[in-house]
Amino acid sequence: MVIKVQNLVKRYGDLLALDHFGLEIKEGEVFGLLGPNGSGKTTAINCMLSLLKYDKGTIEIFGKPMTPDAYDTKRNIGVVMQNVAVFNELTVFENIHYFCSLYISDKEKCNKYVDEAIEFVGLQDYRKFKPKKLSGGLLRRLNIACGIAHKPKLIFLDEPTVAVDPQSRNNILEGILRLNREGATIVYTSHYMEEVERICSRIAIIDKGRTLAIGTKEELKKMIKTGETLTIEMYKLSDDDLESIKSLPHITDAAYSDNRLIVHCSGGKHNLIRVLDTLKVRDLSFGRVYSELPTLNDVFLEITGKELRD
Amino acid sequence: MPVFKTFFRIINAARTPLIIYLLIFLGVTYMTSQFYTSPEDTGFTDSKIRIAVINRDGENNIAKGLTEYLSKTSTIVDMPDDTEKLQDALFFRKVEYIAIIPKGFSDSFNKSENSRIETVVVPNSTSAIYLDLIVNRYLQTLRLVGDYSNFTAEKQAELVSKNLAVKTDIVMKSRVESNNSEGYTYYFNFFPYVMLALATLGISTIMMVFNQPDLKRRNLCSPIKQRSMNIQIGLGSIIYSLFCWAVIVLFGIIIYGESLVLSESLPILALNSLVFTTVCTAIGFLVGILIKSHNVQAAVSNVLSMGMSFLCGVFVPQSLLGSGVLRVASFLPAYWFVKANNIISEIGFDKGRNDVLTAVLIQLGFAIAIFSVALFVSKQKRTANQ
Repeated sequence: MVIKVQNLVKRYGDLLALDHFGLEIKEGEVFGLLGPNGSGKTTAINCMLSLLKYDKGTIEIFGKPMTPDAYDTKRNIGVVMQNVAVFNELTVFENIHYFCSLYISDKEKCNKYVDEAIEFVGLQDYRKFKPKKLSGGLLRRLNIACGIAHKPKLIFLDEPTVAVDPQSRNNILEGILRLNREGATIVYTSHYMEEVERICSRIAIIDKGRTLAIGTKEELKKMIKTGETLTIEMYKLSDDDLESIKSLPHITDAAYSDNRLIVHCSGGKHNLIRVLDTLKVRDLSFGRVYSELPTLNDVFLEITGKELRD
Repeated sequence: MPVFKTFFRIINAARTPLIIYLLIFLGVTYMTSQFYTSPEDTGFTDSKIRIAVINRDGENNIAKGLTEYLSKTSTIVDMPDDTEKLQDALFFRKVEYIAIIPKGFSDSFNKSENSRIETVVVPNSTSAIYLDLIVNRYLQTLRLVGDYSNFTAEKQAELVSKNLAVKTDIVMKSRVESNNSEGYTYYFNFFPYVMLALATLGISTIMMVFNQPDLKRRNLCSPIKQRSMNIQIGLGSIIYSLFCWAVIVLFGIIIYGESLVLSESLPILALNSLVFTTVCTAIGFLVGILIKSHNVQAAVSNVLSMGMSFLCGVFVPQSLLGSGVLRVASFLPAYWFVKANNIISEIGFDKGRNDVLTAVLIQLGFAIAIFSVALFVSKQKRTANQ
């Protein structure tokens, strides 16, 4: 187990930021912490990094208790903060070199790692640029390079794609997957469910400082009653026809508007076939048909009763 | 030593404003120290008042002797005995005092009758009081000689003139053993102004960078111990301060040349300034921990360097400051720096050894105290952030 957190409690005055929070992360995982803003993701990460004192609970990283002076453990950890943490006075190369040299004392090895990190994030053309001259996306890439240059075994990425354009976001996500393929365990926090769904092998849904559910995305989706959503384009549908569809098994709701029939299912198999058969029997013609599986937002909605981005 | 190296990379990035500051401060210091070395400060001369003497008593020994005596103590302007012209001369301040020896003055004086020199003066003039004293002194001395001798009037006038010619030696006690006509004394007295500004600006600039919350948290995630990081920043601050100190002292040596290099005071002046440099380093360290914005940094730097310089005798000599101000200033390190400098320049290090060393030790005490406060505040802030 790379990370083991048990019963973590953290208060800011009267505010309970972490409420008996717990999780276990295995080696080689890309573990996602998914929750809305203020749910406790960053607080949890700060506690794991010993940047914050907590009131109760235990944190173990690489099998050892994590404390502010656990320098051997810290040597194997890479951190990419939510806010870009670089020196505006230094160039891209100098910034990455500074952070890398905090971990790597061998000068040659350090320079090699810095070059590799620059290449990894695609900043070869900006080596001598100062951060103020970089765009938001490039700045985020520099922030990542500073966190991963020393080739850590465990990397914390705290919302690294906030305020990043789609193209840069795609590059960053690809990079994270590459780091994972090269052997790093990743802890990734985000409130963008698409990102978490795309790159994370296991996900913890947290809200109000509590871990509400942990599992793979498939496991999480199975935890909820909500099944697939069917969308069928058709020119006309009478109330009778609609009622007949609603009466089918595993159909929780059906509605027709704007030439679209939208059917919500509650699980079960072959729902789409059953609906299409019903339409054929009633001699109703239809156009395109879509089937959407439940998303993490559906999971979050069902577990917490609110949208992920509320 | 990544933090140490980065310290100087950041200094290098901020070198332009620092160099501009240094040049301006050195220029101001040099010009002001030149301004202070006026030779008039080293001597004493009586001030001479422009007067007119109108003799209506004709040629006699008393009138002649008095006029001669007045010519030694004042500047006599020739004026006709014309009331209107005399009043004009007084009004336009061609003269400040008019002494009129009335007709028959000598006779009545010799007969010990009530005789007076008439005067016309500028109203409320202190010069008039001073001249009255001079005239009275002459006449009283003449009376004394006349009453107690049988000399002729001519001989009496000669004796009085000889007697009043005796002058009291004026000694500038505060400068009697001083060699502070040398400009470098003032140059070194200006050291706190330059060094405080450079230290607070330079060191706090670096501290502010390292104390940015995100960078600080990022550094705390690294395997570098906080103590090691502080030591590296501290070492960088010391080297930066030493560099500034060396530049200022070298600049002094270049400007004052042999007079400073061959001076016995140079080593102790340099030592005193070096000790004060440690105080400035500690202040810069503390300021860097306490402030967050560059606007505040400039304000704090100016208030510290200018305020301490005004209070402690950098801009105005300590001898001209009130006792209340000096009492307050004694709680500031620059006061002890200037005091040590003054002792060195006035009586020399050998004679004032104890006082100089006491002042130097007090400065060291300030440095240690301020640095301890800085470390305490730093630790408190770190704990509060958790």
